Amino acid sequence: MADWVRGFGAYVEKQYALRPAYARRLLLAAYRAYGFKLRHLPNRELPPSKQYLATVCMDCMVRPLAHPERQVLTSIFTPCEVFHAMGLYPMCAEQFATYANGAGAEHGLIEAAERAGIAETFCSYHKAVTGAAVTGVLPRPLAIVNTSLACDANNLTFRKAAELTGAPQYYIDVPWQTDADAVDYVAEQLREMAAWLSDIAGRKLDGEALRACVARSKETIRLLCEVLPLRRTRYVPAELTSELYEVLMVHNALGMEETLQYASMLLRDYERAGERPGRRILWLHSNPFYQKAVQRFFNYRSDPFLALTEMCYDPLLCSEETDPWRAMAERLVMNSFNGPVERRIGKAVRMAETVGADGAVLFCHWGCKETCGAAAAIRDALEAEHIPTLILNGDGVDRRNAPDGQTSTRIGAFLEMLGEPS
Amino acid sequence: MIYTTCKYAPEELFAGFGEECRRLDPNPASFSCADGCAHPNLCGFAKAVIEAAQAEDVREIVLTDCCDAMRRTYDVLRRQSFDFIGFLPLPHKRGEREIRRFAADLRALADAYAAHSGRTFSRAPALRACAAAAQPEEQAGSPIVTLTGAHGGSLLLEKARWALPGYTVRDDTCSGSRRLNGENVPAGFETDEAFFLWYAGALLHMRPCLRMADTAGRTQAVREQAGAGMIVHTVKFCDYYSFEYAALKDAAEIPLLKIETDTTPQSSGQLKTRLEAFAETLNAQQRGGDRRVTEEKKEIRFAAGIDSGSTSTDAVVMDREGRILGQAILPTGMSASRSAQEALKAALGEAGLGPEDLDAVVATGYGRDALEMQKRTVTEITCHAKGAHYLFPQARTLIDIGGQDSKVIRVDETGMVENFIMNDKCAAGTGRFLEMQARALGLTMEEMSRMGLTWRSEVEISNMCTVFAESEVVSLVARDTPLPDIIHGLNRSVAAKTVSLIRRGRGEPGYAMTGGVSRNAGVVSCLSQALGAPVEVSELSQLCGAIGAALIALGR
Repeated sequence: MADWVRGFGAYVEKQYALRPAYARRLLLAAYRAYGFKLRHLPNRELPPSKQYLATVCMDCMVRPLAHPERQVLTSIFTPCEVFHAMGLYPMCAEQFATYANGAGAEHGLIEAAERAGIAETFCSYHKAVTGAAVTGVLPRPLAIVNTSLACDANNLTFRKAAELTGAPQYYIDVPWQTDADAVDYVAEQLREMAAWLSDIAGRKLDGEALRACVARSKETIRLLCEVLPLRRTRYVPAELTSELYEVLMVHNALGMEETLQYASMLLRDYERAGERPGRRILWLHSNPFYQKAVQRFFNYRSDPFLALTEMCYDPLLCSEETDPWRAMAERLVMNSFNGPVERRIGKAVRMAETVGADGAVLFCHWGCKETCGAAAAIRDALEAEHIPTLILNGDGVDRRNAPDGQTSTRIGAFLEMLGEPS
Repeated sequence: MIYTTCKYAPEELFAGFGEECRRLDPNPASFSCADGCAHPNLCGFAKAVIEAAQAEDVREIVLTDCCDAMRRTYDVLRRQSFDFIGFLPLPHKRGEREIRRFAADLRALADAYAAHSGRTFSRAPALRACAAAAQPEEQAGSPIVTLTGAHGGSLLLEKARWALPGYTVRDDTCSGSRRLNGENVPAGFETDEAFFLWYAGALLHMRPCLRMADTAGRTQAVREQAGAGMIVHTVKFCDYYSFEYAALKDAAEIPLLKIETDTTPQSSGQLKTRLEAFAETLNAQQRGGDRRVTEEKKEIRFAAGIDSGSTSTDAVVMDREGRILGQAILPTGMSASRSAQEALKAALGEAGLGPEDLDAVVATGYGRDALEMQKRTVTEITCHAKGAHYLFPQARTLIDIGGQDSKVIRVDETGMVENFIMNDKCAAGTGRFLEMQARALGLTMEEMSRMGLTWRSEVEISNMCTVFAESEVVSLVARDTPLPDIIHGLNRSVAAKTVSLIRRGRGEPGYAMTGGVSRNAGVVSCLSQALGAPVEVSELSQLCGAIGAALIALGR
């Protein structure tokens, strides 16, 4: 992290307890300034699609923070087409925490949560948001809508945020089963949520606008699925941060025109890209985008090449469903993070086969029991398919849980183990 | 016998098959299997279940979809061989829609068990079991202390009951409080479907655990029904009940103790100290006006206090006026008992007294129960509070950082404990943390203390983990970072950890510090800066526990 970012973050952190609203304005100003930079001085090491992606994601962060009266605080898996169709701005917990880290200001939020009594072992994405709610840095959103998928943290963070900010909360229960009844059950809740939100926002949901949003989601998914096989041989520069941007795109930003635009640009970039030899890595779960020890192995590298991030493809389901409510519900219920671990394993193996992965890195984010508990099973299954897998413990947000030396040794040794590219 | 893990497990359904259910109550010595087939960062209870299912004679088991860890536990156990393994999806909400879904899942589980066992489900025994499970709790004959929070199991319950004689310790943890919501259990149902629909509602409307979406009123009910005191138990890597603790601690009007375990019996030493200290606080509150812990009423001329700590053994001899006549600080070494005898002998020597002159001796510290000559033991929490009041009469928050633990004790104007909090099973922020870093830097503790004050620029040590911080220190040395700057970074990280503990313990200004780390001027300075208030220390800080013990022996 650059010294000036560190200095800025330290200054913001000092304001959390004293002047939380001011701290929020500082963060917003920083995001706007960086958004300006991304538009006018983009990262030329990245292809056009990913340059565009960075600006869209920054807009997705700035809008809800600048307009809390239109902000819907969500979990990463919440389908957001209803919000987009109503002209509201979703902001997910993971997005908020990740951007706070980008500004060098996550630590103060995490500490605030721990001081309030929240367990140190709690997921640090969620701990940062809880800390923001405890300090008052988090503005009172218009509403909070979260799913039970994919982890327990959703049951805690959003309830606490609702309690502290006074915002109304709607909870979408996603059953463990992945059948048609479960889809109906979730679809019914989504309809109920839309009516509830319509009352709160004082805005009517335009059925046509929703259908258009869901249609864009489907088209985006179709295009991204077309990209998938091209990832096997083509080289389009990748970096850890862009991967997280794409995670945001295929979750909370699905249904937006910009997301569809990104998908078509990405397809174009891949179609034009040349082939390059290099060990192809499948990355599972989130990533520690800020950690130098990881960046140096994967950012803008064709060997090893970050061929695919699991979370960019977990909700992608090419569906024939015509009812928009059921289509959104189906995406949620059939997500590979739902149900028994075999579903996630199956998807991981298919992804690895499609992109011809030479190895996989399974990132065990601090406090994520969902992934940690499944880690050994996923590794065993991938290795049974002759895909060497590294279980990498770390933290997607909290620098305190990210030992550079250890991480570097583990990744370095793993890559040595994979051998030279064939 | 069907083993279960959660209060939402449908025990009455299995009664309908004539089967008995037993909740797993595991306390494995280690997680050698679970760490490998799952991950070390999985909740301690879930890992204990994995261990128990391997080790015990578990042939039939039913898990519920109560949390991430249990879903993953099911994934792990399903790969092993059981006669029957069931998994019950559990809705987070409990409206009519969810009750209907849950009823269907209960029916499916019953069908699966019928197919496995070759038996048929019978409503009558299931209903009898429901009626029994809906019985109200018996009235306690003594004051109640509630054990709430995450699964504690019989080990924790027994320890709490042992430490709190004269109290009824009620198990209200997530696996302990199971009372079916069915005050008027119907006499019968026309069909199994009607029974399952009713039964699903009765299960879902038990007092909700924190994974349920609607927990309105739960925390308030826990607080109102707690009785004389409350012990909040959390399990390492189960985060649910830390949220309830955060709410309870801010509004607690009764003594509240938070303890965290990982379900293994290893931390019993620390657990014992905390429970005993909690009992002392509770007893003091129950006695109302006379809140002091007093020694038997008799004429005391001379008394001694011995603090048997992990690193040093301290002894103090006092006269009836509370004047210190003799003192000694010796390394604990290999034998707590021998070190205590030698420390007492040295303190008596300095006082010009012999053992026969002592009318009362109180021992404290981790080794207090191992001492042969002591007449009475009191926890170091109470002794430190007493000692701190003696050394720093204005202090309201005592910060004690010793070799292996950190404590924050809030004291009232008479030196009585109002509240206390301790670090959990981790060396971060303790004296051991600094010792290990000093070793990595090739310095003595005295050199480290001195050099830490001459820093020029701030260095961030981001890792609180002792081992990882050491590797960070080594990296900084490799980059030629000046040693005073590194030490200052370490001091700041200890201060940050301590401030977090102080905030959790609701510490207030009037800070005083004791324990070995109080001799490190760099840490004290960083702590004072982080708190924005002065932190008092004393030349006698290290004797604080022994002074408190001697004062208690004097009945002061």
